[in-house]
Amino acid sequence: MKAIELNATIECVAAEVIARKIIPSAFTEIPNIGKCFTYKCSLNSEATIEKELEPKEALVYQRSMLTAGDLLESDGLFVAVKCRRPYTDFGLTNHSHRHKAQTFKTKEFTLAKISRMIQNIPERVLANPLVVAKSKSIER
Amino acid sequence: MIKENIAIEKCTYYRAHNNYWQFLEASTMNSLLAESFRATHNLYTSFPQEWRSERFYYYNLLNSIPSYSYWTSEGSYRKNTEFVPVHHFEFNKRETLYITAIKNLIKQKEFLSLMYQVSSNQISDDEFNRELESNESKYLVHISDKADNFNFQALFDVVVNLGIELTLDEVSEMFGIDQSILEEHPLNPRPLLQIRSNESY
Repeated sequence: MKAIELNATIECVAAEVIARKIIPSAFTEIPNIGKCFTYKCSLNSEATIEKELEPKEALVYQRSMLTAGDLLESDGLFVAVKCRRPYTDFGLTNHSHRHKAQTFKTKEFTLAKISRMIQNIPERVLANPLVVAKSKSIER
Repeated sequence: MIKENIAIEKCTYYRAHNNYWQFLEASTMNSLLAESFRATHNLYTSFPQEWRSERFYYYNLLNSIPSYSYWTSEGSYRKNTEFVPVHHFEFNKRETLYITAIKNLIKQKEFLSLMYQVSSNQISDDEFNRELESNESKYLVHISDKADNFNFQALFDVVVNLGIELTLDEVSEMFGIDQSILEEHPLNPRPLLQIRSNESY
């Protein structure tokens, strides 16, 4: 399924993130996730689930999409990856007709959230509240 | 500085031994208070200029006997129970907010500079990991999910007055507070007009 609304999220064990501009942002400790590296993707960004969580339950936000193949499409993405070292080398792919894009594949717990929608979609019509999930921590 | 400390000690001494300022002679009391105020008000610079004027603080002093009142950036604050000099007073919420924001931005800057060093091969991956593990407090931004004792009005005021369009995650990383709390807060300047039902997922 594809989501385009503000605050739509995916949670998974492995994901593919594609955007024209990916910038590492911070080293943070987020409740329910723990220590993780965050990234900000802008300009035509996408995130696809490649591997589902083992018990298929949302860990951070209740409404996040969990099945393999689920896709977020937006102008701005917030990505948090719970891994030992951050991804520094972003590969190049042929993404759209005109532009190449940066990409990276995660192999650890990944949370992606739409922080900015595609420009021509009115924000007021589609907005998705963030609801915190009941489970409290990830076993690691 | 020694002179100032002596003045403060004198005040606390009289306070402890006489219980009330009334037991002192008016002239000595006034001089003591003035002295201590002069000592403290040099250390506390966030007053507007007019509040620092002589007339204003003498007025304040005379009206605050036997209690001692002082001013914060959020208005007047009167404490009757004990004598606390201004510079010992805890920072108010607005200032702690600014301080956390600056700290988190500095942490972010430090982390990004480290990332730059790795990506440009100035340091190896192992060195990078070692640095992150050994000096964690220098780089790690804590994001809390507890909203008590947090001045949301000040936060949203700051965000609006910045005049830059910020996303939710940027604000949460800056002020160290969880995105869901910020989003559902009633003071959020961009409230959600329509909430989608659960069935759509």
